[in-house]
Amino acid sequence: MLWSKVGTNELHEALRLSLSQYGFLSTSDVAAPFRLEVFLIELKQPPGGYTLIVTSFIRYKLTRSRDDQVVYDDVITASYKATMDDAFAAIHRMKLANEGSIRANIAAFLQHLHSLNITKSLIQ
Amino acid sequence: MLMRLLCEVSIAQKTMSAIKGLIGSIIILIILGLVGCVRPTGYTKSASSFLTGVKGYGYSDKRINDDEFSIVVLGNPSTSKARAAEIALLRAAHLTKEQGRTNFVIIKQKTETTEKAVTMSVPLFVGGVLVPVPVGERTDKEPMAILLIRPLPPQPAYPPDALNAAEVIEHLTKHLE
Repeated sequence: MLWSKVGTNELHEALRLSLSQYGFLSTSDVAAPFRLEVFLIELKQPPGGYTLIVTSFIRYKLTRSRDDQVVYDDVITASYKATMDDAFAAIHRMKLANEGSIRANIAAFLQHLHSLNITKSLIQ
Repeated sequence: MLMRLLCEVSIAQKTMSAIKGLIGSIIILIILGLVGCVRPTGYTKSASSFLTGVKGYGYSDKRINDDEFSIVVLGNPSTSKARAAEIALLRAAHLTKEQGRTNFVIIKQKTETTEKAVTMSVPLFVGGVLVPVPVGERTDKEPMAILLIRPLPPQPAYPPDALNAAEVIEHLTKHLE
């Protein structure tokens, strides 16, 4: 296919890096008090054009391991617009738009995490 | 005499070229007119482009875990968010029946207006060939509806928030026709 896609593994890796960077990721897989499930519902890409707008819909479900209580469950939407100023080649523009959309989505989720007052280093 | 003939041929060629340009413009106007009158998206499965993998208008669905499904509806710019949501709900009901279940619950629902930049072009005859020349961009608004559902296994009494698939199909099929 002409357009690059974002796979589940790539999404998980990007999220793992972001959580780690902001200190949310548990260093131990066994004792993490919270469990995070992430699912890429949809990556809306345009068929072509000069300006490429990609919108990602990602579901984040955060469960407390102790009692399996869901503390956060939502679908976050984020868009990114890549123009000719970013890259002349459409394939490169699409890659930038994909990455930008996923990055913005994860950033929005991290904002929600901050508002939930989740203690850092507790997510698996 | 020969010069006059050559002159007439040249004038005829120029006239033909002008007529071709006029026909091209008329065709484009007709296409623009048709695009302007496009009907809202109906209850149809979205088709993916072979070349880019980009999904077209309509619904798509996938299993997200053992008992949950996601349904995504993308509507064309003539479609309202409410209609996109109804298409998603109708698909949820059909999906529930396909799973051999009668009732389902909605886990999450979301509607969004997304943007798509569309390149506008004008056809010009270059060397006798109609070439689209980009003249600008416009931004179309496309509604999207996201629905996460769980078809319920058979049970004596369904929870109050459960929806009956048959009832949803009966109500929405007529409405979306």
